[in-house]
Amino acid sequence: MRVKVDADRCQGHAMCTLACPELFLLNDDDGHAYVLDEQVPEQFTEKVRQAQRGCPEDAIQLFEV
Amino acid sequence: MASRLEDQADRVVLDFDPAVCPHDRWIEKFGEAREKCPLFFSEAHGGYWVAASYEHATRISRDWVTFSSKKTWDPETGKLEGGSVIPPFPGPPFVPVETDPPEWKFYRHLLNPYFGPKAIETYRARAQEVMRALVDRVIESGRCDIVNDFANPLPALVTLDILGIPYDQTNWRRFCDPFHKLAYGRGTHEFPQTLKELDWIREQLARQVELDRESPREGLFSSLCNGEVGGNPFSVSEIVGLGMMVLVGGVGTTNALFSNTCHWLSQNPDIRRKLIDNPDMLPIAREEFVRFYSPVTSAGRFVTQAVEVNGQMLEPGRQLMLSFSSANRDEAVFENAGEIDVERFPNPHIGFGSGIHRCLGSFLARMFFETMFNEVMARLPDYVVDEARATRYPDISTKNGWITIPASFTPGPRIGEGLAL
Repeated sequence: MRVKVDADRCQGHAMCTLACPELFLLNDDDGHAYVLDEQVPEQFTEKVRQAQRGCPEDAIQLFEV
Repeated sequence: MASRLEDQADRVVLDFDPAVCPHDRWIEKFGEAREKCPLFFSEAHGGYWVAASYEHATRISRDWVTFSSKKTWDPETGKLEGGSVIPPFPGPPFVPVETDPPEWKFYRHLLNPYFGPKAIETYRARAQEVMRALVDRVIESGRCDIVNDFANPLPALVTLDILGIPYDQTNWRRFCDPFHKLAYGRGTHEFPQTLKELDWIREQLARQVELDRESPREGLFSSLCNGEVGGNPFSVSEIVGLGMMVLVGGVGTTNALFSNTCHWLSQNPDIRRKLIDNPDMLPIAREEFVRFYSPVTSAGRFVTQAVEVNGQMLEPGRQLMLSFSSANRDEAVFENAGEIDVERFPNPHIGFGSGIHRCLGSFLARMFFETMFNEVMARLPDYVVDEARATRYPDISTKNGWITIPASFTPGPRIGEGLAL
């Protein structure tokens, strides 16, 4: 699975980092989220799905490949 | 005279004015609205739209062009429109909440670094120190008022610390209480006095502007005092306005969140004990309290161009209310929305708003909440609320909070060192 945070939609609610702090990092200044690597390690798949469902801005995109 | 766009279409009118909303009716009335027509028209205050569902509230929040936040107030021409409050009241806009891009971007980016996750961690120790001192004031007596001893002063005083406005043992109350009264006092006979007390706070901020211009230091307030907008220095009234925005934005709101939470935990001591024993549960529980209580219940928008939403035509010039509290009870998104589930996750609530105006202070609010929770649960975990004397805000149209929550508990020792209040 790959994950992208849509920077135009993200508004820094930080619910993704609550779901998966290992992968979703927050910008120091505005709290907007980003990932260092789009490839999701197997063990975080479920947490990343929760992050996607928990985003009020629909800013997280998942690609199953 | 051309007929209004809205008259040409099937406008759903509900007999409900959520801009004046008694606490005991909002759940039932908004529930009805979500079922009948989640985007409805209220004829009060000259007529305005209300978005009561999660889907409408979030979609509308994302379109800041059609649904503007900008408040226009010209005392000379009498022009008054837009802004966060329905109906608008005379006065300059709250910045950046009542602005649109590009103005929004300038102010938001200026303020962001002081409220981002990195900055928040630098304030945590001070917040703990202030909370310890607030608990010290009452711990030996076995009695307190959750609202006026903790939930209101903690955010007020630490926000003043962040701004760099000094206070001391003799005057700290004068800095805290007016923000609390502002949240529920509009329309009461005490309100003029509250406005005078807020003016006193503005005077203290204005005095600090002079001091900071003479001797700049670190921090938000000083950088405003010595900063520029459009090549010109910020005016004193702009700086004072920004300081007041930060205080108004953060005090009554965090107060309401913590007050409601404490009240509920007193009624649910088993869950209170579970949260105390399992600190890892707190972040998720905290978000559920934000969702369920939605301390900022609504925000206004201004329709700038004709648009069809939900089969209805919205005319430019109308105000529209985004109801965060109703959206957060939408069963289409939140199962058993009317119940608190401290383990609810995912929880895509919009208690901190939605779109570009997402609460600037959300990271700070979370830290304040954790700090207050940890200190209260460590030192007075068995507190019991006096339900007969606990009093809610009568009107929750803008804030869902409590006027007072008296409680009693097993007395404990003062910790004593450091700040005294």
